[in-house]
Amino acid sequence: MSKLTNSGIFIPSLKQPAASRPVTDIPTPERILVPLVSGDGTFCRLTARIDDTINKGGIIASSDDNSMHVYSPVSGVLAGRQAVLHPIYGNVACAVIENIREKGEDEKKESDINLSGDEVLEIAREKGIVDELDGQLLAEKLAACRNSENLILIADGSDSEPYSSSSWAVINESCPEVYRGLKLAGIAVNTNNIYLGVRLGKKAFSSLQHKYMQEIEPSVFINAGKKYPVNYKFEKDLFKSHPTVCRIGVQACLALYRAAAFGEAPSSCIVTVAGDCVANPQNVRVPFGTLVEDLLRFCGLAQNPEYVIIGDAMTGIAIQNTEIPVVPGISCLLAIKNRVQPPAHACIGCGRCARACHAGLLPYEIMRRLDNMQYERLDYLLPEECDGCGACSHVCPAGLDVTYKVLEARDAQGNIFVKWGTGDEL
Amino acid sequence: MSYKTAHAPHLRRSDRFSFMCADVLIALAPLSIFSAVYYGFRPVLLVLAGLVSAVLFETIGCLLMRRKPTVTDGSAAVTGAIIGSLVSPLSPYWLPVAGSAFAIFAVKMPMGGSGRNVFNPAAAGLSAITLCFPGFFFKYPDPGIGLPLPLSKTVNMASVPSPASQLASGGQTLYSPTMLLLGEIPGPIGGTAITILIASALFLLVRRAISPLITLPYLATCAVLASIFPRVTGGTAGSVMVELCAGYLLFCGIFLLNDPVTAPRHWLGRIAYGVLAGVLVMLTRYFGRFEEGACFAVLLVNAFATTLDRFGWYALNLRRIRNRRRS
Repeated sequence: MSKLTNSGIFIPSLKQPAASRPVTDIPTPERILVPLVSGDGTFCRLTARIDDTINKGGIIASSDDNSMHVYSPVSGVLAGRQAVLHPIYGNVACAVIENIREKGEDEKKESDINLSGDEVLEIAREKGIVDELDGQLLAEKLAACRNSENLILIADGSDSEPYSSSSWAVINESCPEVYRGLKLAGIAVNTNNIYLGVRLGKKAFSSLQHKYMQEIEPSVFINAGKKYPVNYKFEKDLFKSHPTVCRIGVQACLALYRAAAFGEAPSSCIVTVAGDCVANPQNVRVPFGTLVEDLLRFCGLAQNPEYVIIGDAMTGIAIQNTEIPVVPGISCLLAIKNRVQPPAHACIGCGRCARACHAGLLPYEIMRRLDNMQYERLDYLLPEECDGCGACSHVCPAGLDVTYKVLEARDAQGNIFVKWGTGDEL
Repeated sequence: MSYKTAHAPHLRRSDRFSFMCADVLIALAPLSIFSAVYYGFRPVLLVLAGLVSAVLFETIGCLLMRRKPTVTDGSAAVTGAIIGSLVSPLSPYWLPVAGSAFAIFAVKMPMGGSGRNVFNPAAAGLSAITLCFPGFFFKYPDPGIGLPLPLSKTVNMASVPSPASQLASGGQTLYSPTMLLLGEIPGPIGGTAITILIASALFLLVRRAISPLITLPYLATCAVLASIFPRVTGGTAGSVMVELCAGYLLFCGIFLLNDPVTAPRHWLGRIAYGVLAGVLVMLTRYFGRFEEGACFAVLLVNAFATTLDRFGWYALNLRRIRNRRRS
């Protein structure tokens, strides 16, 4: 029944022309800012000295217990530290790397990747690989579902949001490597049920299967369907007997393969730069730490944007200034002038948010209880199951920020009134 | 350079509440035009009187409450047009105006205005004029007279019994199924044209302005009750046909029950709401004082909307909630 009632929404596909253009490399930037935060969100101490020359992949900062590190994404000179208000990390210290030089890639020898699950997890943790789907540390995500029975692991290259085509660009460029990374992730979680999810028309899907027939079993590819948010559970009968689905990003799979085979720490990502203000929408390979303003300058601005958004249109964060670095987990950057939002109105009770919610929640009721300060009753409505996909706000004809309210309820976890203090303190 | 900030998502559908109201007004327009074919321009003026007065009253209400006028969303126009569509073509012009005044000043504005009313303002306005002026409300002209009604303030004309009043008094109905479907029966301006009502419902369904999960269970319940407890001689099918076509039962299922503000949002709650509305509408018909009491039933079922909505969802998610509370 939930298939009939809560099956997501249709959103327009705005991926062209970026999706059909080849991936370009951004020219070496003058300076980059590397947040001193490891993949699991731990703040790290700078270990390299100021004015030291550092090589790509070298450690520049470590956590207090020395278990997590921050690696330099480029070769250059460590010029100093700078505090940045980052939309993902908040106030964070960044290492400033200047005099960046392009160093020819050494021919690296692929090492044996017959690894055990523990070894794969250790590599993923040590190299700080971050899953671009949700910004989580890949090792933690895989470890969390390691012991699940009947687990299906999917490398999600569906690019379910409207503008992003970075996953498709990665699959187009290095599909066999992504598959090898996915196999390693499958070893880490003890499952043979691994799939590579894409979102293509029937013809393009079968030609993709045919193209990689030599290296990848055609049955490994699955098509995600056309609805947002992507939900693979209903795509195949197979999933009926495999209730747990774990989705990881294709860029994370590629990074896992490179880390296992070549010992490389992830140093760059592919970002889709798009929006009505971007002169040349395209997928760009950028080193981590590249400033958003450099990325926008590289793609060109046809007109001055009103909104610059890190992430895609459904879940992205609008930023106020562009002097912030690209960090792992960012796969899309938008510069938008015309942002459609119906004028805000009281909830009219059309129920479209409930129909759109793929988690089967009642977004309007959560919002109503939050507005009416009925916090003690919020718990029953399971706001913690919201993944913030934005479908409810997208369909709201009253122009309300439903998703924002539901996320507020989710993040409060029933503790909205905890910090009121006692009568003595007043 | 500083850019604007806003909450995600940054891509929205361009649907507006005003578009939904415009769809409802478009669906209501053919009903008064159809009535104009039988009775002349008077029914159109009555609908316009209701619509314009409701918009005017809402503007006054917003000014009195020092709020930004919400008339542009179209909800007041829909309320007024519905009230105007359910009065008799013989009604004086002040009758829909009085209904609109009650709907806006007594039901809609005191609860906070557009989007916040618990009860359907149109149903409340209709209930008020039904209770206060039943003599005007249930006095219907004969569609077979073939002459347009005068446009003067009051019309002195003998009324003929409507199918609903024949049902209320028991016995045989005078109207054939063809007459019922084509709307050649006495009744409210917008309540008799069954074929056009069905076309309007299909239009609104396609535009997603109404939900089949309310209308279909409602009509099914009415049909089942009409077949179990027939009030006319002529068999089950005849009873169902007359009950569904008489009065404004069908109009109520399309326009009054589907008011998004007062109806449940969850699919199970909507089905339960439709069923309960059907039962209450038939009860008011069987045991009520008036030949048609659907507006009272709508008000009653509005009171249960939030509860049905909530419990519908709880019933489906009991296991999830229990697991959550255990953890």
